[in-house]
Order: sequence, then C-alpha cells, then structure tokens
Amino acid sequence: MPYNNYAKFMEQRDPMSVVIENLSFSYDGPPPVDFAIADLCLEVGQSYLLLGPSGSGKSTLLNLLAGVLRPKTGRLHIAGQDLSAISAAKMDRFRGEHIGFVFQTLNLIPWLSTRDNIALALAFAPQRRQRLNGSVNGAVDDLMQRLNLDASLAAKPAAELSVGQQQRVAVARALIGAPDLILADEPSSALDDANTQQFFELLLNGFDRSRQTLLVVSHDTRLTAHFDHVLSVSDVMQSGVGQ
Amino acid sequence: MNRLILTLLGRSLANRRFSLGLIVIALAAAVALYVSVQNIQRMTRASFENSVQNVDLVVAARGSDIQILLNAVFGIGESTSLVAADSVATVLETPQVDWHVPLSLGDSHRGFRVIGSHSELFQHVLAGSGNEDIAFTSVLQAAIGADVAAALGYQRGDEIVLQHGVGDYGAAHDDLPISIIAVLQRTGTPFDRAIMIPLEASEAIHRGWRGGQRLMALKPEQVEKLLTHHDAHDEHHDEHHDEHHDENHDEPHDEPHDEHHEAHEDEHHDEGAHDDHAHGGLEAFDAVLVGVHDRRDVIRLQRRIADYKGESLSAIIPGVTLSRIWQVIGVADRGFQSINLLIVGLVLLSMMAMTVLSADNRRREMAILRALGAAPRSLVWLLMAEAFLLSVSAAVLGVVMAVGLSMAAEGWLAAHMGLQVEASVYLADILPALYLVPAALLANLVPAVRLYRNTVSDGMMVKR
Repeated sequence: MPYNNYAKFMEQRDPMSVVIENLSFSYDGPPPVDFAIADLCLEVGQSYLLLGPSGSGKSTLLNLLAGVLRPKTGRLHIAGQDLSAISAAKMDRFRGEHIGFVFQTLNLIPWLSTRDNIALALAFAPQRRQRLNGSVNGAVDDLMQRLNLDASLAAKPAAELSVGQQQRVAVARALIGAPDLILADEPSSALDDANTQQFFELLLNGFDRSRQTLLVVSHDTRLTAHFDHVLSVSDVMQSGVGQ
Repeated sequence: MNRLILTLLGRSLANRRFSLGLIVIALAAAVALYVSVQNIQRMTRASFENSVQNVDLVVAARGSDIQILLNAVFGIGESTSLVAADSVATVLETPQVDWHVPLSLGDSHRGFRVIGSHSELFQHVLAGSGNEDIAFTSVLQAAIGADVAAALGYQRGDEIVLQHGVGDYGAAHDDLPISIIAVLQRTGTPFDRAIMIPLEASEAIHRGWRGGQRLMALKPEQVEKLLTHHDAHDEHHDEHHDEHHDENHDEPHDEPHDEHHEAHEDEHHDEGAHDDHAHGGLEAFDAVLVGVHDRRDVIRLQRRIADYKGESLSAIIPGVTLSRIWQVIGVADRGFQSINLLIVGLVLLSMMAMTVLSADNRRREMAILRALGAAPRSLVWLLMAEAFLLSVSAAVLGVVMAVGLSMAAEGWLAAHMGLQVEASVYLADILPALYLVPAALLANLVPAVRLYRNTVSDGMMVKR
C-alpha cells in the first residue's frame, strides 16, 4: 500500500514515484472550483487505476501531475523532484523527460510515420534519448516488436493505422526511454472489448516494474482486475464549488 | 535543435506542401517583381551610360537635349533639322577638341538603322570595344553591328541594299548595293543594332533623290569621285537635305521635278507626307559626337558652341542629359517600387492569415507536443523556423524568377527599344530580396503570440 507519511518518504525516497500532501488547486471560474488532495503516494513498480465518472476532477489531477496546472498550496513530488520548485519552462522539459502519456485516441500526429511518432517522445527530452541502450531506431523496433506492431507499419503514416494499432503506437511512445511515470487518460475508450483486453495486457506487461510507475485514469470499472491498486477519485480528491 | 525536431519540422512542412507551396510561389513572384524592376532599371541605365562613355559632347541643331541624345546615340526619334558641315568645322576648330565624328541618320535596313559616319567612329566613340581597327576603304561599304549580323545572318562580303527612311515603307536604295566589310564585336551599345556606312555612301545613295523617291542614280564612277571631292559640291548642295518620302508613290519617278533646286533648309509639309526626315551627308549632319582632351573643358566648349552665331546649335553633355532623363523617369520608378513593396506586404499579410489558420487547425498537434515536453516557446520557435524556411525559399525562388525575367527583358528591350542590357543579377539586386526574411519573421509574430497563448491555455488537452 502507498505510504501516507511524507517524512517516511523523505527517508526512503527511491520507492516513491509520486507524493502529494495537502495539495489544493482552484479554477478561477466563474464559478471558482476548488480541489484538495490530502495525500496520495504512488510506489515505483506498481500499477494504479484511478476510477471516477467524468467531471469528477480526473483531468485536473492528470494536469496537476503533468505540471500543466500548478498547485496553489501543498507538496507535489514526482520522481524525487519538487514540482513547485521549478519554473514553467523547466516543467515542460521535466514532463518530457520523466512522464510518458497515453491519451484517448487521436493522440498521434497523423502525418508522421509510426516510427517518427514513437521517436517524437525523445525530441524534447534529450536525457530520455540518452537513456536508450542503443539507437533510436533500435529502441523503436524493440518496442514495436514487444507491442505486436508489425515492422512493416514503421514507415506508415499514423493516419493509416487501425484504432487498435494507433493505441499501441501511443503506448510505445509513452514507454520509449523509460520515463518514471506513465499516465494514461481513458486509453481504452475507443477500443472494443477484445482490443481493450489485449491493450491492457501489453501496457501492464510493457512497463518496467524496476523503475516505472503506471497510473491509468478511467471510468470503466471492468478494468479493475488488471491493476495492483484501484483508487477512487472521490477518495483521493475533494472537490467543490468554492465561495 | 536535434534531428528528431528537424524531422518533425520537415514532415510538418511536407504535410502542408500544397498551401505552403502556393504561399511560397506568391511571395517569390512578389520578390521577383521587386528585384526585376530594380534590375531592369539598373541594366537600362548602365546600358545608356555605357553607350556614351567616350562621348563628351553631342552637337546638333538647336533642340531639346533629351531628344538630341535619344536620336543621335540611341536611335529613338528623328532629327528635324541638320547642322551644316561648315558650322561644325568652324565651331570645333579649337585645341580643346580631341576628335569629332559626324553622324548622318535616317536610313534603315530591315529594321536596323543606318549610320553614316567616318572610320573615326570606331576609333573614338567605340574605343575600348575591340573595333578600333575597322576602317572604310571605299564608299559603298558597311560595318554591321553584332546583333544585325546575328539577326540577319550576314557575313563579311555580303551585299545589302539600304532602305530610305526608317519605316517599312521606304523606297529601296537598290541602285547602290553596299558590301559588308566588317562585323563589329559586341559593344553593348546601340551600335550593335546599327549598320555603319561612310558618310560618302550616305551622300551617294541620296544624291538624285527627292521627296523619298529616286530621281536619278549616281554612276559608280561618280560615287568614287565623292571620296576625293569632300568640299566642293555646290552643284549638288541642295539636293539631299530636304527630303520627305511619300508612301503613296511606290514606283520611282524619273521625270525631273520643278522644285529640284529649291532651298534646302526647310522641310516640306505637304498633305500626305507624314514622315518628314532630314538626311545628312557630306555637307550637313544630323549630329556630331565630340571628344575633348580634358574633360574640364567640356563646359567651356559647350558654351562656345551654344554661342556660335552662324547657326543655332545645341551641345549637350550626355551624362548630364541622362541624369535629366533619370529624373523624369525616377518618379515613375518610385511609384513602381512603392506598388511592389505593397504587393510584398499584401502577400506577407496572406502568409500571416494562413499561419494563423493553420496554427488554429493544429491545436491538437500542439497539445501532443506539449505533452511530450515541448514548451510553448519551443512551439513558437518551430513556427518561426517555418517562416524562416518559407521566406528563404521564396527569396531564392524569387531571385531565380527575376533572373529569368531579366533574360526575357533583355530580349524585349533589345528588340523594341534598341537598349542593350546585360541579363545578370548582381548582389545589390538580390539583397533587397533577403529583406523578405526578417519581414516574414515579423509578420509571423502575430500568429506566434496567438499560438503561444493557445498552447498555454490548452495544455495537453484540446477541448473539442
């Protein structure tokens, strides 16, 4: 189970991927909307499913974790980095280096080839590029093989891939260069049951449990069986229309 | 800038190649227009100045200096009256004068004008062009310009028949064919498009002509005599100055005319005669080109000629007259350039509009790049790199198009204006094209700011 104690995290920071304590955030509105997270810790090597209906603040949490939204108060640490301590510009770079994303469908650049779409995750993240054992092409080929993407698809524009193939390319893009945290937002919403099943098998087998953490946000309760931990948005986050 | 970002930029441009191609072509066309106008203007001026570089003064009957210069050197227009050889001899009898070369104009051959002059024309007026050694040894000889030879396929030794007047309707001087003794090396002046004959030949082919018609022909032995009788031709003095030709008469008349011995200084303005022109010969010239020993004497000599009492003369300094022409033309030039700049501006504006549109259409793409770690300023940077590449390609393409245009202009100016221009684009002409690049970057600041604000507010999610 996640640690709930920040002091304990500071002693043993390595096992923790995400630590949130007493975080608050508000949209300016009108009407202003406030969010608060008392504490949330995600452990390295674990997979988490965050369940909640749309409108419950899932996107807000994802944007906070990604550094696109900045907390008003409280602590937010990802991979040992205090996000409140770095500038917006450095935040972009940090996101590129340390976080891999899988969105709903249409999150590939349609006119780039499969290979270029996967490698694009390294374009703005030179350290992630250096973490590769070999060449970019070699890493892309490895990932495509692991994710059951035929090598003949490498040169194809993403627009010509099937929805299932596109989602696997998106996973490959999130995994390449082994970022510390993989965030996925409703990744299966456009997939049929068979594809969904296969997709989560690939995702959960694909991430490196020795150093990566996986957080999937969804409203689909059928997914719970795949994950080590299942959290409910309403448990993690208090939200409400402010004064 | 790493290879992956370059790939992204290249593929992104390739993906929009059609719309971007159109914008590049529009920008290039605007640049080409701008550069070409500059270029043609410069080439034209250089050509004009090149044509008169050895000539310090042009002497002609009193008249407009621009008209005199255009007629004497550039073959544009016609001379309305002549200057008497005696006057020229008197007024130029001064140690300041190095040389003077008379010109007798008004005839043509298949569209090329014929210039009657001395061999000194080649030595002095065309000095430095490699034609100094050409000299007439007999009367019925011609040296033809390089363009004439190229256009008509003439060679040394060919015989040609000159035509009276400069239109297509003049009667032929077919009684006295002229043989070509030399083809001039290219000079880059209007002389490339002219046929030079000795003054005596000009005299000979007009002897016995009146009103554009041949009344009697000289016999060959009479022609040869002209060479030795330069100054004593009182009996023919009045026959060759006052001609006009009349297109209603196709056949030469052999009957003598009553007014044969009429005074020569006035032209006739009969009904039906619309193309009066004077013909120079041995006794009177259309113009005289003058060179001085010391250019500082030019003003004094000009005054001396203007003050000559025997005849109303004008002496013009070609360089000064040319700058007067440029002043007149300059107003139109500046108007042209303003319109060109306006066109460039309008194309940049449409480029701006297109960039705004495409940036709006690419918000999802921008959001993906944000998620992958691109800062908003990196995206702005990509947009500016795009503008840079597009404007550089447009500038290069524009200059290429301008070179093509000036080549076309070269032919056109030569064919229609007798202007010898060199179809080359100099660095000075290309530099203005490069201003397009900063201008395009500036124009893209508006889309860039918009993109920046959109990407900051969109974050990684595009609300659709």
